[in-house]
Amino acid sequence: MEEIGVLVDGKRGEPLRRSAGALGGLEERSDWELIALAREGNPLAFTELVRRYERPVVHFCQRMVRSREDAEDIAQESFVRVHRYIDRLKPSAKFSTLLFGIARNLTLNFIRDSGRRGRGRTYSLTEEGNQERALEDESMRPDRFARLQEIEERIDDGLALLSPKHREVLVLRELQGLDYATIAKVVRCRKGTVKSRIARAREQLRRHMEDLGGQNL
Amino acid sequence: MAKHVSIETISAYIDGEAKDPRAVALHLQGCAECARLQVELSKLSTHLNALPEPEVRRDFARDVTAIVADDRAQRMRRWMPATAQIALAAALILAVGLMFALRDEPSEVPSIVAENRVAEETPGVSMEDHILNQLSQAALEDTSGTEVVLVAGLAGSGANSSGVSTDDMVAVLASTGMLNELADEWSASEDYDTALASLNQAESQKFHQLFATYSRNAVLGDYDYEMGGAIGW
Repeated sequence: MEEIGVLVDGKRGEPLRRSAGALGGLEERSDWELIALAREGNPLAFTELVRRYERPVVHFCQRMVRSREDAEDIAQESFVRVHRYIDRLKPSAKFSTLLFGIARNLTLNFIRDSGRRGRGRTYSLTEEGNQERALEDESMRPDRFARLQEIEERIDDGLALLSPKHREVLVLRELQGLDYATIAKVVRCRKGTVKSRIARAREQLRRHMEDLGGQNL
Repeated sequence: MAKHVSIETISAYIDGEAKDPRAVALHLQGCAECARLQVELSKLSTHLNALPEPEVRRDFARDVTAIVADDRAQRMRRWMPATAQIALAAALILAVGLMFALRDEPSEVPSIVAENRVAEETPGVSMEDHILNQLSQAALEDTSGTEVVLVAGLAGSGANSSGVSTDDMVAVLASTGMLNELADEWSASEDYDTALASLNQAESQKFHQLFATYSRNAVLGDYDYEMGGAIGW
């Protein structure tokens, strides 16, 4: 049996023990099935939904606002909002589209309210723990590691220089692998606009890399 | 000099979203400059994809679930009068709570999209929000040139379903920076000619006047040429 530190009657800290049978294979349920179960009061269903999307949502937020702590806060708020309006959600679109749309709006609000444009503590290979993990990879020789670190920093800086509307579409396309139609729904604009914004974002990033002498990408 | 394809086309081709990928591929085979650009953009894409994904802390999901439970409990407590918690039966407490909950809910439940839009949330729907919602809805329909037609139509007709005057609508769009943003993007969009061609001459003229008044972009010069070429003035 697996012990999970979740909730019982809204109180934190009461561990539950579950068997695979009792959960009914939540991992195999679709997103909207989990939503339906969460509506019925099943907290584990919503937890499963969070686990399913926590990484991509935090990753998106982190690439938008750069600060990892802020990214996790925003990602958390995104899930809280989903749960707050869970009774009103309709399965007329993919759940991920809805979730990224909420996260996107919250990141833009954050950027606007903080007056920042992506400045802050970044996730980097030099961060403790990340460096150790990277060096455990035998293919990551020191020189290769240093080179990748340099490229990563340049690209990260370049992303931060993009306007939020250009950064978000590039991040959704490159890091989340969303197609143009889905991105258009997330950011609420035409597909043609997504296409032109992505192209401009790439061009700006390419010029940034050139300016830094990064032609040998 | 041979004509090059736009960076927008190459970018879309890399993403598998080009309208005519065969034509693009054929061009890249014969154009060293465009082929080099495609290689550079592809390398950039590779490096972006290789950016490390941050590890999310282990108790993230648990914390979210706890916050959600607290949030729900707080909202329930706000809706229940204090005396009901002391004396009444569970059924009566629930009934009173529901009564207060329904009374506190807005009569028209805003959609998730409206609740989470970038504009500040307001209890009602302001004129600005109404106009922006109309444009956003049009954008979601993803019809080629929809925004252009909508804006031009609203500007040209002077009458619209929202009951907002044309001048008010234009002022709102100008104040939000949307006109400049749209002008900037449409000038680079391959759909631009198609969009303009869908307008009648009166709408096109009004649209042109609209941008002439409010657009700050130098692209307006290109607009004159492009519009003339597109609609055969």
